Amino acid sequence: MQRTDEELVVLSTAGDTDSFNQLVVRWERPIFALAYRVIGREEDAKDVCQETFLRAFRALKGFRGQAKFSSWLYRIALNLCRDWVRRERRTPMVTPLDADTEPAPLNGSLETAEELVVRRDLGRVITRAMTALSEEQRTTIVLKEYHGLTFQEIADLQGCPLSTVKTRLYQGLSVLRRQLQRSGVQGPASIVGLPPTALMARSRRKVVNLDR
Amino acid sequence: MTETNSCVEKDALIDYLYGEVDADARTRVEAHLRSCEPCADEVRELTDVRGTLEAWAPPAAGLGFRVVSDAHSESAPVSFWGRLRHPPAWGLAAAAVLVLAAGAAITRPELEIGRGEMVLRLGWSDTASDVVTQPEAEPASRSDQATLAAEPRQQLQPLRGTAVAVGQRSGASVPVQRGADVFGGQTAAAAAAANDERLLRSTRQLLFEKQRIADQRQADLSELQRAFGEFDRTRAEPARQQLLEVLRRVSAR
Repeated sequence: MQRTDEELVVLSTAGDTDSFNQLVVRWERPIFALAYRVIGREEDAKDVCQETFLRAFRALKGFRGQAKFSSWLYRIALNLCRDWVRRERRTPMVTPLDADTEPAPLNGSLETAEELVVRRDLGRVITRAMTALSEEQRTTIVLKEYHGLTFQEIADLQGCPLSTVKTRLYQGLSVLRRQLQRSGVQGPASIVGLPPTALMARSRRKVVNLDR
Repeated sequence: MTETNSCVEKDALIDYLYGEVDADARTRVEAHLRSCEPCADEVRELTDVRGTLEAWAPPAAGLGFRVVSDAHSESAPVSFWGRLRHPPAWGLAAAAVLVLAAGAAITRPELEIGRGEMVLRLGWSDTASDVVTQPEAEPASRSDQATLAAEPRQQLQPLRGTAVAVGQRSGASVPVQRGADVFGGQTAAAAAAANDERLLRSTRQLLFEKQRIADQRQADLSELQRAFGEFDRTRAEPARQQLLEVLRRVSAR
């Protein structure tokens, strides 16, 4: 039976390195994806990911379970991302995936080669559109769309009121809509084949999955 | 439609869009959308944006981070000169052994006995070059770890031969055995007996001292060889090469 994050944290705090590494295996991909989408550079995102787990390991004894382990990790990672943006003094710029770089597979779906090519091309368009967002809008959309955090969890992570989170989401989505329309992307149905109702259901499923 | 519609508050619209809404609020929003085409268009377009975002995936990067020990013990890479400023214990020991070995090589004692005289020379050796032949350094590209670990020993092997050769030469040239014949031939001279006895004691003392120095030199070389054998090639290769170069220069004098 798979141990929960909290059980692994207790074992790790007692000095069980293997238990901590199980947490690393469980969360390294989401943390890397978060860092990549926020700061936009693969190698820097790897560094942020590694530093996140190193800091978590060093500070594990101070983690009292006042929040979910995943929320704690996200907070560390976002602080590192913010430090990176301020240190580099630049707006996050995502380097579009080149023709040889394969995007990570979609969860639970099998794609044909043609669908993979379409998704990679669409990814480039989204990459450009994302650069039009402010750092706060971008981080908020990433946390909501790709990590399924609740409004309240995002507000706690960003240290802002709930209404600010919703405003950032609304404004960010509106900016993306304009950017995508300028690029000729009118809707997802013809590209990824997901009806709007399915998208709403998927959003609720993400929240449930991350509550493990 | 692309402009913001104010019929439905944006908070309620976002709540509905992401499904974080209770049943009553959902019913109210859906009832409004059925009667308000601009709001319905906006919800549909924002939903389409969310669907498009699905295609944005990070690269399938290899990660594999693992914690193997206390992360506090990790240290930043240190340059060669930085290591010289803070040399490790083995480095200090190797340097001390090198100085001792070089000192023994430089001040190699020479003893001559003849015609009732005994001469002990301490100073620069003029014979070291005839027994020391340094090979070229092993190619740096060799990757076999066992070979790399043995390499310092291979390079030091001629030095060990040097030590052996010195001992053999001492046995042949230092008149311990030969001197006994000389002294044996002189026992008949009663007038010189007391002088010979004093000379014999001095000779034995000097020979003992010479042997002690030779033994120490042998031990120093062994320690030097051991210290080289413990080198971590990836981190201490420059230091090893430098020490070897110094040793070559000293041995070639």
